[in-house]
Amino acid sequence: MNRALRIASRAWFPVVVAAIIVFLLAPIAVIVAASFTTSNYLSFPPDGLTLKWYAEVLVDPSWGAAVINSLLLAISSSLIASVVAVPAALVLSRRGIRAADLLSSFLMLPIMVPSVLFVLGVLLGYQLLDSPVPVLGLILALAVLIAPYILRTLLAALEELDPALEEAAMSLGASRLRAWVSVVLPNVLGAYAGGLALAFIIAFDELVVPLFLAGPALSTLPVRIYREVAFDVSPQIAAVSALLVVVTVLISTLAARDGSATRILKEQR
Amino acid sequence: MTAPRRPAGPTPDRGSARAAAWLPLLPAFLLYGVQFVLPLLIVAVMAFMTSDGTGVVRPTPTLDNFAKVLGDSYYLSLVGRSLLVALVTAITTAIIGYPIAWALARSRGVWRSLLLVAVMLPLMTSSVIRAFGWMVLFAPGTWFTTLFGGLATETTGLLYTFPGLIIAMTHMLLPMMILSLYGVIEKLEPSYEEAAATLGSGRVGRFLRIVLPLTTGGLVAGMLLVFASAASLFVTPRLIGGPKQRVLATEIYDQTIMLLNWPLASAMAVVLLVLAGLAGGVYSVMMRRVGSTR
Repeated sequence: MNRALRIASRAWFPVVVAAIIVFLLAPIAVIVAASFTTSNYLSFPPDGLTLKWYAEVLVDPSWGAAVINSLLLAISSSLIASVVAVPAALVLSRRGIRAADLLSSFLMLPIMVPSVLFVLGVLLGYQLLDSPVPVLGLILALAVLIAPYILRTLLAALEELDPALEEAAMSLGASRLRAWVSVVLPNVLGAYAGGLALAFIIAFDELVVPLFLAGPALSTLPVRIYREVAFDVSPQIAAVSALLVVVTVLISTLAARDGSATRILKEQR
Repeated sequence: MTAPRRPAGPTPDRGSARAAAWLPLLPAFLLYGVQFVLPLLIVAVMAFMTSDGTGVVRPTPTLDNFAKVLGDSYYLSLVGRSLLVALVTAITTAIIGYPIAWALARSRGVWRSLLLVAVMLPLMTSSVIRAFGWMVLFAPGTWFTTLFGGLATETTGLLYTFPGLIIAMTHMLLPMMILSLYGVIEKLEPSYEEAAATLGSGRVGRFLRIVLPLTTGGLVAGMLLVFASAASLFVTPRLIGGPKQRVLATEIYDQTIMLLNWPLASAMAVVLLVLAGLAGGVYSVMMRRVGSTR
């Protein structure tokens, strides 16, 4: 009796943790499993196994177009976010800049401010100009949304870097620019890659920004999935979603290889 | 021999060097100015304009939009639900997130890898797909819905119900809470707990007297972050809450895109910002205080 109690008191914690792991993975696992169903409606557990939904998705050119739209938007907005965030991080990480804390808090704001808010503002701004939102407007809005993630990862890595490295380079005659390019940047490249991967995934997955700003002609993958799901859930959408999950897993494992996952864990605070 | 210190004051040629040092911030200021600050100002001004039917705005200043959002019982119920969902989600993510964060910080080997995958996979998966997964699980008759028997309805299962919305929102924001807690628990020396254990303290006592008090900062910070994000989340309330569980974020979309009442949408957006901003403001004040004591 006493022993049974002791075992129970030791076992409850792993059981709780296992239950939460199931909770975390359940909705994703369900989508992947349901995408193999042979029935014409979504069912879990699936009725039999087939790959026909994947075949349907892969030959449908409209899905391919949505993927390409999403990719192009994510790539261009990540590039712009980098152009903005990398120089800003280099300046703000330097000791002795009085307003640095205030400025970094300001540049982090897009994470805290509800995205519905500034996206509504962007839309209204173009309405005032009596113009539809151009694709560039959409890209820039995505760039604002993801720049804080690159900035945060880089700032954290730069603060860990020994300032003596940069000083040594400059005392040996390198200009500040040269010291940054050939000494500081190579040392934080891993952190930058981690931040960039996170920013890319967020831009690729973003729903609200393209939902407000992109016209019906420009459909991104999340918008397309959202519109289909809101209308009717089908095994075809499950197949698309499962493919997207697999790609996301691949990107995050690639980014995690040099320990960026642990770094992201630490910097999310 | 020590060299004499240079005077600290700025000399003329250092002034221009200082200006050049700010130059790398120019792209950031440009982008944020045009795509962030200006849009927020437009929303702030638009919230005080008069709406003349769908898509027509008259530049007459008025407080009517705010009176409607905070006075009309329908819009007030949306504000109330947004607040309630954010509050309940902050609490549920704290309760469910704590064991996982603790396990993540203390486990090694296979368990740790499994936990990392369980936390990172939802974090990296599109919120639309996660909501979609819950739509499938919440259908009437699935094992998950039967688990919550009494809370589900006969026609839609857990879909379009408040408990269903909370479950899906908790799932959406749990990784954020876990990462916030992981940061503080990982820094906690295991030797504190070991010392308490050798002094005869049980698991529960160790948690309540040692671990919890020392990680309250991360817990509150995580809850504030979750609160702010939950108040403004769009996808989950839209797909899981549906027409029965409307919140501010979904109504802003409808008013903007479908009904074209931009002043009213802007006023709701400002109210949403105040809700999320309260949590964000408390968060940044707390972070500064934590930072200064370190």
